[in-house]
Amino acid sequence: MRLEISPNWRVRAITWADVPLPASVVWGQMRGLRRFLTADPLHVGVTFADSANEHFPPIGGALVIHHRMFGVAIDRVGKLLSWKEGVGFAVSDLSQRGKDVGFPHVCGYEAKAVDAGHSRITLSACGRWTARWVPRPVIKLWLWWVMAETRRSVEAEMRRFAKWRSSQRALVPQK
Amino acid sequence: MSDEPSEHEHEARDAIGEPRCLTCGYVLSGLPSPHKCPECGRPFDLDIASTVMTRVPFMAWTFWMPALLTAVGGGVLGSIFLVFAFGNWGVSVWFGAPFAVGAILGYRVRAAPMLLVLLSLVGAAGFITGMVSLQLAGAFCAMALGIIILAPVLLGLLAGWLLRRNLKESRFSQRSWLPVLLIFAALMGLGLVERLTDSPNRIESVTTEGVIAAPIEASWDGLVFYEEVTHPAPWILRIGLARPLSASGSGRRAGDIKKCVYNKGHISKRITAVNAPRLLAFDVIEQQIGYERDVRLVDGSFEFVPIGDGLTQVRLTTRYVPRLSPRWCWRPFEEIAVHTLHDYVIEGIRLRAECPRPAVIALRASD
Repeated sequence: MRLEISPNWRVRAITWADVPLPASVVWGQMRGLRRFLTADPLHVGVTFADSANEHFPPIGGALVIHHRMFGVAIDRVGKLLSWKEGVGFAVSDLSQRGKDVGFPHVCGYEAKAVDAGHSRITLSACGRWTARWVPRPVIKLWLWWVMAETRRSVEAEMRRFAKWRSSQRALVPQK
Repeated sequence: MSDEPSEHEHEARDAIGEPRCLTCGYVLSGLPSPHKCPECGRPFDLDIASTVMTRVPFMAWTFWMPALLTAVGGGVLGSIFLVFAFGNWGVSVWFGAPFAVGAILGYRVRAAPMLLVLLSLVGAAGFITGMVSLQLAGAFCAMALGIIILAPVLLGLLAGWLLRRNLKESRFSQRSWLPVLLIFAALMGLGLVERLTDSPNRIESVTTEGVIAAPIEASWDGLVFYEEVTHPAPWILRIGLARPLSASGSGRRAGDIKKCVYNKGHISKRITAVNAPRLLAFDVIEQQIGYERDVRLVDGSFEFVPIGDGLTQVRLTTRYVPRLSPRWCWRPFEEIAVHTLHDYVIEGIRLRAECPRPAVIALRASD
């Protein structure tokens, strides 16, 4: 995991989840956006506002990311910033009060093949920390927990899917 | 409580909404339709529900196993707490904890009723195994528990299932875990109430009668001169209960102390009354046979009554302070246990009386 907080409070947090699945299969799960985004321990759900397709927003489409922390529910807003089919996507996660408060950041997710049967998912959060009264070690600790939990959740989800897939393997025709 | 959809509603909405490939589970949202799955090539049409699945792929055991482990682990841990912190061996342990096991299964597992019942039986077996593993119950108790806890587990299952049905549509955001905690809290509350209202059990008595085809004197000798038990024990004594193996010390005069060795320890008896060849009564002064948590033996007696034709009726009585409650529930099993043990002892007396060994005859002559 890499955690950086620059002198001007730019935050860059990256971690990697190694999963025992081919990259194309991993992508097949990652593209379930509404479910995949809830791997973050603070995200409990995503709604695609103003989208004709309730499961898939257009690039630039608005999202409402439902957060919950210590039992408190907060809705934040964002957009689907990028979508590279078979590779990854990025969404913004902003406070409803504006772009300059409440840790505006971009969450990025990318899948890359390691070998034929394994892949690595890069999970990143880049933004600007706005609550500057919080000591940097505490921010790092906080980011570390969020990223570690996200990685754990993604790995667990993919492991579960791998088990399901191996139980179904006999049914899956070869391409 | 927030007006926003709860976590479970999001999950539920997600679970039923996302179209996936029927074969490989690939998420098909946003792909051109109709088309073929990019992963496995299976054709799909997002407008035709039968060509896609909307459930999240999962392994069935990962669905029910956490609830089963929570139920059984919680039930056993709860029982340990009730036993060692509250000193309870009553309703809360034998009814409350199994009820909690069933309630958690009923609440946390979403499955067909028949499957839920089967799972509750597995939960009951797990609870009993846990109690046996922690030496809070022996093999005989485990068999009894198999009968005793069945109704509470099934009632708990029904209660948990009803609770789930009622909360399913609610907006209660903590419903996934709070009811489970409340179930355990209620169990502890029951344990506390039981402790505060507990009263000591009264002494109970079990008497078993048998007929020996030997005169009363020979029957008496079969009791007072026995040293080793050699005849085979019934299966229930072999697998679950303590069975006598031998005895040492004299038991022919009041004040004598006789030590009876069992396969799980020993009992020391002080003879309190001897009226040869009709009555031998004793107090139990030491008990270490592995059932100290269940019963405390108090005293007992052997009575011999000639009934003519060279036959003798023998009557064994054991008095004990039971420690398990509720009494209506445990008494029948205790009676089965004591009667089985008595029958085994009477069988030993009968064998010795009907076929006295030379050593016994010699002892009798010297006496």
